[in-house]
Amino acid sequence: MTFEQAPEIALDPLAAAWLSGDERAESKLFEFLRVRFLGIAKRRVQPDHLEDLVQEALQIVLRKGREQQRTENVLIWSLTILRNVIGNHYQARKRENERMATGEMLLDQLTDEAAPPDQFAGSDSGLEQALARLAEKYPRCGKIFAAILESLETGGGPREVSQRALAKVQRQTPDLTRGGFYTALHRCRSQLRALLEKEPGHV
Amino acid sequence: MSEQGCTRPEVGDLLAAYELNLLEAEDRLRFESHLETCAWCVEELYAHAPCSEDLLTAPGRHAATLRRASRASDSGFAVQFRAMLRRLLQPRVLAPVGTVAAVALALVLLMPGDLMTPGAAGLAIVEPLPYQTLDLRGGADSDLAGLLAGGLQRYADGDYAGAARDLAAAWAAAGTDETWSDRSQAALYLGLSLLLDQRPDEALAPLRVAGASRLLPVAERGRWYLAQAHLLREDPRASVPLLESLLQSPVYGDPASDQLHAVREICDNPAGE
Repeated sequence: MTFEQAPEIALDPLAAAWLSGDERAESKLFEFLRVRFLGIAKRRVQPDHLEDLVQEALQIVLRKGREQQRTENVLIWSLTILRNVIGNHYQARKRENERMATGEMLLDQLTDEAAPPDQFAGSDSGLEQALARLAEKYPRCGKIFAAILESLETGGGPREVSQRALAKVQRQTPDLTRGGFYTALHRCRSQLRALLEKEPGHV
Repeated sequence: MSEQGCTRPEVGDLLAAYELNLLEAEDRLRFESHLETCAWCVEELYAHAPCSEDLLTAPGRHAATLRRASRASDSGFAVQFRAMLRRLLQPRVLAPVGTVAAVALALVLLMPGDLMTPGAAGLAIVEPLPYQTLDLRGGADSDLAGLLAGGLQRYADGDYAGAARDLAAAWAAAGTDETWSDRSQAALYLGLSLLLDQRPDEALAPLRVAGASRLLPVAERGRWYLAQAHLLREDPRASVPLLESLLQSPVYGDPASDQLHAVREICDNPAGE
């Protein structure tokens, strides 16, 4: 990997460089993640837990990334790890809170950190239901997502997957450009998010 | 979560494609660079991360869910309800009871268009045609050229109501000026702007002009969008000859064939049975 010659590089190739032993790539990758993690976590946990939680999440990313040789969709995958770490933190605080309440020793400071509803991973059936609702309510969105997911299932690199999905959608909408395709997908994703929020037990 | 929304929506629009790993290296880098300054997009990725992972981990299973839901929707309650109404409105059912016939007639008169011909508007495909700069020439004066250019700019900006207004003004100012060589292209974009502004009735006239253009690409586009306008107006029969004329088109052949098949099903079996 030629990280030295490529100061600006996307995260996935950066992860590949890190896994091949490039220390500068590792430093750059984890600095990027650390800053993003801090930004997210500071809205959700008290300041005295912030650095510890972020460090814990980064350690897991480091360890599992090596174990799994993770070089695809590194950011999204890392964010799921952060979610789990923050979720576990809330669960631990909740248990502690309940234990202290039982002993009539509830401390006011613990109530400052109530778990917001988006902190726990959603159920798989919730996603299935939301996708089904998406296809019923917004048929075009259903077709766009189906084209992409079928193409992902077929396999290949991002270019190949994207081209195959776009070609399928263009059978219905010949004038759709790649940019228009991504914009349409973005809007459909917003609809999916709105439906997910209505599904009980999901994010 | 940032309350301000995405700082650069033109890059932020790549978010869903990024999540599903569709972007090539250059666009991925562009989006990730954007994340350095856009807290809103970072929060969005974080909030949706488990779903993105689910979708990427089992795409085939989720695609099957979508296909099942689409099939169920196509044969769902709305279609069956319309079919039931149509059966009830058949004369042999209503004839024995005069008063019921009167009620039925009132129902027919008051019934919304989408119940008269089930699903025709749902077949319509109206996507913005990519904006292309027109080569202004011919006998048009500078005011006319300015109106046209302004209308097309509004179209490019996504202001379809404004585009329709300016292009209609250009259209009116041109009158029957046969030396204005951009007439049919202006008609195409005027018709399309009206369609995108959800005014299919008004779109018919300019799209007919575009559909009759001597320029083949303009004519094909005009006929395609005219067919969509008829579908939106719940008049699928009017779209049939237009779609038939596009079957040999290298651009519109496949979608016209698919749409024609669906339209004929509606026309041949209006009760949806």
